[in-house]
Parts: sequence; structure tokens; C-alpha cells
Amino acid sequence: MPGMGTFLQTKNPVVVSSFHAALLHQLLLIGLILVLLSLVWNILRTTQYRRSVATGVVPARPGPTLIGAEPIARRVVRIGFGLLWILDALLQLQSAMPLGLPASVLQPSASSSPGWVQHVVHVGVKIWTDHPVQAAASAVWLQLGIGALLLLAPRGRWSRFAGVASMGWGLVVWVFGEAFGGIFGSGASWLFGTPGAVLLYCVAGTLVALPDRAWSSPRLGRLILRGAGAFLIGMAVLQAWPGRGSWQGSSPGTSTGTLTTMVRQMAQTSQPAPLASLVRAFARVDASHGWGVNLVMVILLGALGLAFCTASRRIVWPALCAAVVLCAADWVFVQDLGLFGGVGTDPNSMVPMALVFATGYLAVARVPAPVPVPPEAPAIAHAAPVDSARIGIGATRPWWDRVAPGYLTRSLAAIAAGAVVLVGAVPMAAASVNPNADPILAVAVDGTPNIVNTPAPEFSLVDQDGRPVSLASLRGRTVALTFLDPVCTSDCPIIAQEFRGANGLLGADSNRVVFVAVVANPIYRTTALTVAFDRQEGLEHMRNWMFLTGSVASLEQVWEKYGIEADVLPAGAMVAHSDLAYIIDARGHTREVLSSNPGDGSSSASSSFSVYLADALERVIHA
Amino acid sequence: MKWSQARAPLGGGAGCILALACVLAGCSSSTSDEGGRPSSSPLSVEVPLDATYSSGAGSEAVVPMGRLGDRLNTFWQLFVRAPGTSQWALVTPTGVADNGGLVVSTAESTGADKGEPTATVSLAGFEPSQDLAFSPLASSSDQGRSWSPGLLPAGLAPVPDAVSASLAAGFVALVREGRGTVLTSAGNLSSWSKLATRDAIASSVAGRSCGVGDLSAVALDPTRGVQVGTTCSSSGLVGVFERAGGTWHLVGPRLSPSKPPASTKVLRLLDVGGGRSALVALRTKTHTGLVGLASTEGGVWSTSTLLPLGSGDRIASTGVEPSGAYVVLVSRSNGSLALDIESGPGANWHTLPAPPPGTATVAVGTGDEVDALAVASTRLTDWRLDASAGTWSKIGTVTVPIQFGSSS
Repeated sequence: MPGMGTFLQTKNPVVVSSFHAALLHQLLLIGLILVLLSLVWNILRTTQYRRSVATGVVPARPGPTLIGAEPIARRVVRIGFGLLWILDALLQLQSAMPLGLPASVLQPSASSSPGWVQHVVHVGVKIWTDHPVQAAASAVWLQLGIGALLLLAPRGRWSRFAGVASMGWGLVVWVFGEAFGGIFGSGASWLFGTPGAVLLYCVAGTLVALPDRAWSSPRLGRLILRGAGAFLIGMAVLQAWPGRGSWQGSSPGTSTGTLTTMVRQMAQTSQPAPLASLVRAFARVDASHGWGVNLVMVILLGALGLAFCTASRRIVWPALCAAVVLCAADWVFVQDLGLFGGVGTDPNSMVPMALVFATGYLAVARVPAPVPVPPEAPAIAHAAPVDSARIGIGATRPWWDRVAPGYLTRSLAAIAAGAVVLVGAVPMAAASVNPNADPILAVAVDGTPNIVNTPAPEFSLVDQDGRPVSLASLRGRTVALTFLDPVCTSDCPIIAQEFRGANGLLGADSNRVVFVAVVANPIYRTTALTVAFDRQEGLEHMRNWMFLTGSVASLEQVWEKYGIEADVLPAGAMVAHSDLAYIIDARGHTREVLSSNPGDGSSSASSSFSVYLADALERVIHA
Repeated sequence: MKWSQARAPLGGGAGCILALACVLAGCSSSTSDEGGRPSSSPLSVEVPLDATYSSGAGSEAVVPMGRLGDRLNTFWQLFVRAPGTSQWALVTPTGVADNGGLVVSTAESTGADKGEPTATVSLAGFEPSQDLAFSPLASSSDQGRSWSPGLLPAGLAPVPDAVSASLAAGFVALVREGRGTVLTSAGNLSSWSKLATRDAIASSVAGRSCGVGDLSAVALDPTRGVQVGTTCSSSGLVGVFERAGGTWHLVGPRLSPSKPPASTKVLRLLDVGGGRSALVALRTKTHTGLVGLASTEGGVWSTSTLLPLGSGDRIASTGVEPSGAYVVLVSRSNGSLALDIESGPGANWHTLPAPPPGTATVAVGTGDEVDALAVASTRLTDWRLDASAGTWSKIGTVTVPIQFGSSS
């Protein structure tokens, strides 16, 4: 009833169970893909083995494009970020993700940013809010697939594709999920995660996507280190800038500093008690010695930045050690590990930052020695005398017979990981272009329809033009019947728009449907009011819309027949009435009864209910 | 990209650009209000819907109650008190949520012999709220004991004199279309016609002489017809307009010809006993304040002294005595309340003892009794002023059954 609005809790059981069901279905699909790939692998390997036994020929490794082992720097960044993506995927499994992410993560990330940033983020928020289950499940598989691809494809095209995928999805998350890492916001600070953890995933992806020759000299390492150094120097300047609340802790007569405020907020996040104690202790230290803490930070960031800029191994190594310690301290005491609260999406920026620093150092310090290119190897290595006629030397051999078994295995594993990415990417892409919200939101608020098959009670009222309308006169068309208060301030205008939206979704079937509202206010019930309501809601030109009214006695009869309460409340409250919708078939039988509670009245909820109602009408029309 | 040809430390350059962007964005000043003190133009002086009206028929008070910091749990209430009694009765019209506000106008006719009111009509209008864009109406002829519904096909202006009722002349309403539009009804609450728009008044000869800004109040007189109050930017003129012969005439006075105010705004406009009564905000070079105006049937205006408004002061409520004099409750910038009352229509202001904390509005009854109505959530407390002692005494409370949560 109006005034008894139902808002979805973050862990609404309907949405959570739908989320889990979607994950299970997609897991089955992935399982099927893995089974198929396993079969293919088995067949190819068996064929390879039989041929090699029959011919005594062992397939050689492919041509000279892969030289030497993978550079350790590349391996560190590839495996490190591969594991991070997998961790992020596991965090996306939290039950609160479908409904909690927009309000708890996406919107707050943009709250201190300019309007245009908020507008961009709102696009992502809208997509997620409209399709919470689809988006949340897709994020799991996307990130799991990217992580697996990075781990399972160490070299070659598949590995570089993994880097590109990491870069691409990371950019999407950085823009829509982190509001550009907060770099346009007023409180940007290295301590709080600037430039955004996911941007570092993009950097890592870019590095992994580079061709092998990029890792063959220390130049890449120097680029990484100098870039990191310049960034840290900039962060030191930002941290030192006056008037941003960085230099104060918390003392009487002054506003609390930004760091103290942030740490206190993080301490309130639901987390293990020992960790909360640590964070609170640091908050107390900063509150008392904010100026000193900030001075230390400025000096450390500046010094580390300068050290990295030298790109000299002897200087960078101790700076790297100090940077890792500083990152760890910030990760624990300021960023609070970033994992808690029910909607933690990643371990924040310090772990990726330390990985990038380490990659830069290793790329300078551990450059792989160049491996001489071997002479052109024969395509076939003979292990035993060969019966030429038997094996048909000179005939073309299939590609799987010409590659090494390990390469075949890794390729199929990479294909499997790529399939996991697609299982995530395709639904996400579909959700992003679908303007209609998922009906799961309406089901979560209103439950599933009651399925009945009983003669609908007759009524005789007048429409907006004063013409008599009875249920019998509507025979031959499906009727969507509801009860609205023409002077309602909240629910009824929303429900009217949902009916209007459902009409739009029906397409050609809208000609077979009439949407009927009956006045649910015993005081304000004249046709002048129904006309005013229609004009307010843009319904005056909707051909198959009727807003019926009548005398108090006739209205009360209809309310009673349809189980509608309409209570006049005192002291400036609106009339409280039931929110129900009846789907009546062309023969005059009630087939479904739906709750039409609009929930929080958001655009997502309204769109969801329109889809929900349209689906119900389609079922009855085509029954 | 050919790494061998890399000329510049691209990584360092990228890091510099990123760092520079962060520094510039982070060091950008916040979008706080800049410049000097906020303008004290009367155009920025707002009059709330909290109001009282007293006449021979009794007193009525419109106050917000509930959780005043939460718009959806603030409900406006209408109380009436019969003459000679001290008990307020809750008579808020039902059937519509009034979170947006409530405006009321009461008209009465007096018997020829005894001078006591013989008939009354009250018109209540609901301000638009949330998704309700037009204003339902209610009328009563028994001082709120029963109401008949009506409809205004637009949203009422958020001013206490947005509606005016007359037993003989029907009703007039000021709605939000454009910068104000005046609608009239002969008596059918669901049938309204457009009388004038702000642009029509502003473009008239009288309107141009006044420099009309927005329409701010309406009143209805059985003989003179519709009167409209406006803001005026022309030196010293008060924007009170009447329509005669198809054109609008400026009937408001010119204030202080020697030291005219820069701009004026009619906050209240009433027809009282055949004359006009207006409460006007004005701004001079040095100060902002309120003046009470009263005119007789002959059209001669008397002007009260100036009631100054300091920077940060806010009008908390206005009230009208049976004589047509105004009582004004001001919330000072330091949070205290100040209560001032005209000695008579268009006469001097004098200050009364500060009312109790929580006072929402003040009513002055037929016996010159002064009542401060204090609101605490669902409870209305009536405090009576002992003028000789300068103290306030509690004389009654009314508990209102607020339906919290009913509008969300």
C-alpha cells in the first residue's frame, strides 16, 4: 500500500538466489566447453601419439619466434596480475554484489568528482542496476577468464591477447567502476588509491601485450621506473599541497584531516577485530600527529620517486624495498585491505602498485640474455628408421601433428580461458544495450504472480469522458486492471508509468490489451481529477487506457469485489490503498494477480515492473 | 611501436602527465560560494506557509508537524479555534498528502445587526508534492468540520496567500505557471479560468512603471475584485495591482519618496473589512526590513514603521489579527526567535516577549490574546502571553495522529 514502500535489501533472497542460479548455469556451460575441449585435446593427442608411434616422428617445437625463457619481469607481472584478477573474481561472488555494488561502490566513487564524471559513472550504474544478476555474474566470469588466461598462456599470441583483455576490461572498470580512479575528485591521494587500482591492471595488461622484443633490453624497465618515479613525485606534491586537509590530524578548533577521517571510516567497516584495532590505532596516531605523518609521507613519496627516476639498479633496489614496505603499510592501515564490507571488489591499489614497481626493477636488473637463433631445424625429427611409403613423406601433415604436445595443451587451455571470458563478456554486452530492466527486480519486490482462473467480478463505472464502461464491454480483449488514487503523490504515478511502459513493450499485442485503472480514493474521485491525473502522466493520448470512477457506493462495491482496501487517513496523509494488478483474459476470467508495489520507484524498478507486467500479459494473451 | 626508436622516456612522460592531472584536479578549488555577503534583496526574502488568521469567526493556524527535517514525514496541519475559546481543533482536510504544504483562506460575512459572522467559507489548497503536479482543493462552510473536494488544474504557488476566498465573488488562486498565473472561479471548485499571467501584468503600463518581477500574492474583494501582489524593482513602489476596465492598475503606494527603497515584495495581501492589508519586504541601500500597509476604502494607505531584518534572519511565520494588523515571528541568525506585532493596521511595530522554543506560529485573537503555537513532532502546545508579566503560560496541547511513512 502507498506509505508501506518496500525497498530491496542488499542481500534480497530472490536476487541472491537468482544470482547463484545464473552462476551455476554459466558454470555448467563452462563445464560443457571444458569437456568438449578435453575431448578435442584427447583426440588430437591420441592422433599425435599414434602417428609418432607408427612413424617414429616426434613433432618439433614451432619456429624461432619464441627465444629463450619468459623474462622474469614479464612473468612477475603476468602471474601477479593473473592472480589478482582471479581474487577479484572470487570477491565478485559475494551475495551483496548484484544489489549492493551500485550504491556502495560505484556511486560513492564518483561522489567527489565533477558532474561529467558522475554522468559517465551513472551510465554504468544504470546498466548494473537494470540488470543486477546478469552484470554481477558476468563480472565473475570476465575476471576469472582474464586471470586464467594470463596464468595459462605464458607466451605467444594467447598471452598477448590476455594482456589486451586485461587492459580492455580494466579500462571499463576504471571508468565506470572507479570514476577514473578519483583523479578528478577533490580528495585524490596516493594513500587512498589514486590513480585507481584498476588502472594498474591496465598498465599490467599493456606490458603483457607488448611483443617479446620489448623485454629484451632494460629500456622498458627504465620507462616503467621513470614513469613510476614521476608519478610518485606528483603524488608527493599533491600530498604536500596546503588547504586539502592533508596536514592536519584532529584537534579542537580545527576540522579533522582527510587521512584521519578516511581511516576512521575504514575502521568502521565490518572486518576482523584485530584488523579494526590496528586501523583505529593508526587513526589515533594520525589524529594526534597528523602534521608529522604527512611530512613523513611527503618525504617518502618524493624520495622514492626520485630514486625510481634514476632507473639505476643500485639505487632502485633499496628504494623498491622501501616502496614495498610503504605499500604494505598503507594497504593495512589506510586502505584496510580493501576486501571487507560485503562489497569489496579488489584488494585496492597497493598490491598492484608494488607489483608494477617490482616489474620495473626486474626489467632493468634481470634482462634475459639473448639466445642465438638455432639453424633451420627440420620440421620432423626422426627417432627411428622410417618407412617412407608407409608415412607418405612429402604429403601435408595437419597442424596439430606438427606442434609440440605442450603447446597444444597450452593452446587448448587458453581457448578454455578465453571461453570463460566470453561467457562473461557476451551477457554483459547484451545487458549494456538492453534498455529494459530485468524483471527480477519486480519479482524481488512483488513476488511471483498468483495464477488463478476464476470469473472476474463485474463492474460498471464511467471513464474520463463520463462514458459508461463495464467489464463485459471489454470482452474480447485482455484487461490489465489496477486501482489508483488520482491525487496520490508517490506510488500511483509510478504504477501508471509502469502500465504505460508495459504497453510499449507489447508491440503489436497492445491492440489486444486494455489498461484499466479504477479510482481508489473515496473523496477525490471526480472525472475532472482522473483527467488531471492522465494529463499529469501523459496518458491522455494512450488509446487503450481508461481511468474509471463513479459514485462512492459503486466504487466501494468494486473495491470489495477485488479485495481492495482504500482507507482515508487523518492529519495530512494520503489515502492508503492496496497495490494490486489483475490480468483478465478475453473471456473475462482473472488469470493472474500481481502485486504492483513499485518498490523504491527508481527507473530500474519501474522498467523491471513494466517488463514483468508485459510478460504476464503475453502469457495470458497467448495462453 | 618500435622500442628501438623510442626517443623520449615515454613511461616517464606518461607518469608525468598522470601526476600532473592528479595534482591539477586535486588542487582545484572547491565550488564554494564566492564573492561578498549574500544579497539582502527582498526578492530573496521568503515568507513561509506557516501562518495564522484571526477574525470575528475565530482563529485558524497552518503549521507543519512531524519530523520537520524529513520532507516526506512533515505533514501540514490546519487548526481552528472558535472565538472566545482556548481549545484548538484539528481540521486538516483529508484525502490528499500535504507534505508539500497547505494554504488556507477564509472569508466571512457579518450580520447587519450584531456584527457577528453569519457565514464563512474556507478554501484550502494542497501544494504539489513528489509526483503530484497539480493542487487538489477543499472548501468548507462550517469552519473545517466537513470539506468538499475540488481541483486546481495547476500547482499552487508556494506562498501563504496563494488562494483567496470570497462568499460573494468566488475564489482566486495564484499558480506556478511561468512566474505566476492568476486563476479565478465563480464558486465551482473544479472549474477555473485564467485571469492573468505575470507577463500580462508586467507588460502593462502600470506593470512597467513598477518593474514587476514575480507574482507573490492574491486577494479577492467582492467589490474591487482580484488584487495581485508582486515584486517591484522600481524605486519605492509597492506592487499591488487591481484590474479595472480590462487593464491592470497599480494601487500600491510609493514608500518614502525622500528615501525610496530599491525594491519591494508583497509577502501578504488580504482584504480586511473592505480595506486592503499588505505585508511588504523592502530593501534599501543600507538595510532590509518589513513594513505593514493598510488602506481604507478610499485608497489611502498608511505605512508602519520599518521592522528590520538582519543578515541571516528568516521569517518563521506571519499572522493577521482581526483588525488586519500583522504579527511576524522572525528566526534570528543566532537561532533565537523574535516576535513583533503592529499596534494597528499600518501602525508602528512593537516587540513582544520572545516566545517559547519550538514556536512555529503566533495567533492574535479577537480579545487581543496572543497565543504561541509550539510544535514538537506530533504535539502542538498552546502558550498564552501574559502581557503584564511578560511571560508565557501553557494552556493546552493537541496530539495529532501523524501517519509517519505514509508518503514514501
